[in-house]
Amino acid sequence: MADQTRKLVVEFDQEQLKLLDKLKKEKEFGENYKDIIVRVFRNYVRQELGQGGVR
Amino acid sequence: MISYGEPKVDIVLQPVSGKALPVYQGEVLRITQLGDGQCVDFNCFNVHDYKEHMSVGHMRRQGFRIRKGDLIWSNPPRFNPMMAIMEMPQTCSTDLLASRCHAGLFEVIFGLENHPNCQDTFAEAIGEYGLTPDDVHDSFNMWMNSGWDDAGGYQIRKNTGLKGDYVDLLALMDVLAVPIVCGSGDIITVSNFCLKSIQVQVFHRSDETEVIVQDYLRRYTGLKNQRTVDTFRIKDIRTERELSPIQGYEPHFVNYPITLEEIEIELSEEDYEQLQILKEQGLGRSDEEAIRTAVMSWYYKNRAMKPWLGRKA
Repeated sequence: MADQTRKLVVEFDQEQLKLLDKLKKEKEFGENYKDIIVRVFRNYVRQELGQGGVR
Repeated sequence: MISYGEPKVDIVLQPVSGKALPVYQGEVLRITQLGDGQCVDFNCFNVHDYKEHMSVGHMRRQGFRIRKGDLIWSNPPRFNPMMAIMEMPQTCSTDLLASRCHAGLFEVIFGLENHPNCQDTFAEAIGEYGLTPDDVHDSFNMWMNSGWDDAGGYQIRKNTGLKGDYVDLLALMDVLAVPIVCGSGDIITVSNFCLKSIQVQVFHRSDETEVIVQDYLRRYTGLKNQRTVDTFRIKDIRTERELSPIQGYEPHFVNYPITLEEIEIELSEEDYEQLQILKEQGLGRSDEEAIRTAVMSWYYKNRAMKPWLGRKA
């Protein structure tokens, strides 16, 4: 069975986006907001729940 | 042991008195207990611009009980390191919560209409420099053994200070330092129900103190947002007491209005399940809120600088 995905729309303000831009420059989490948000979320999960991580 | 210069001031402050003293960059103010356990309240102004003064509220970001190595900070938007605590014994508990005692307090609590109090002592001391009672600000209290709890309770406990204890404050800028002998300690426990004198000394700068000052300034100054008066939109200090609006004034709020950008993301089923677990744990009420909270919390934890003015996260 193919992996299912869920689409969500998340709002960020201009200052929050400036911080995501800093992550964009690092390139570790991707080069667009969409990838960065998902990968940072997975890192948060790993830190808080002890699962997941950068994938 | 760091060498200071020769003493230029050496005085004894009797109970319920105080003194405003210029202490210039590199000089050290020493406050010494002449008896066991006398609370000392402290105010501090930029000697070149009295509107810049110590901000106890912002000093609390270092911890509620500041100690050796911590700093006396000025009020934002100035936000400058004013003095550094060079020496402070363990027996000197510090307090940043109690503000300062005042005459009204003793009138309410004890029915005493003319009891010595820190507000009036500060006012009399700074009056020498033309400052008014309104210029007294919340004090940094030394040898004040206060305590608090998670429920918001606040207590003042027995003073743990010892005769001979001293605190050294190194001036990182030119300041008007105002140590005073707290006047409440005869009727509340803050000074163990007995008022004592304190010794106050100011030592000239030395080569060693100058090196330390420069090290502090290198570490704690240089921000664009340590602002000076020339950057203020309103620069002049009002002389009229009555307030009235400036015709045509429009506030320039920072980043106003806040704008929002919608970003569509895709989560795997596993990601989504984890998101639901986090929501149940209180991360957010909606999926969107939980994602944003996770991302921004991660950033704060992993990328934000260590608190710049404090010793603790």
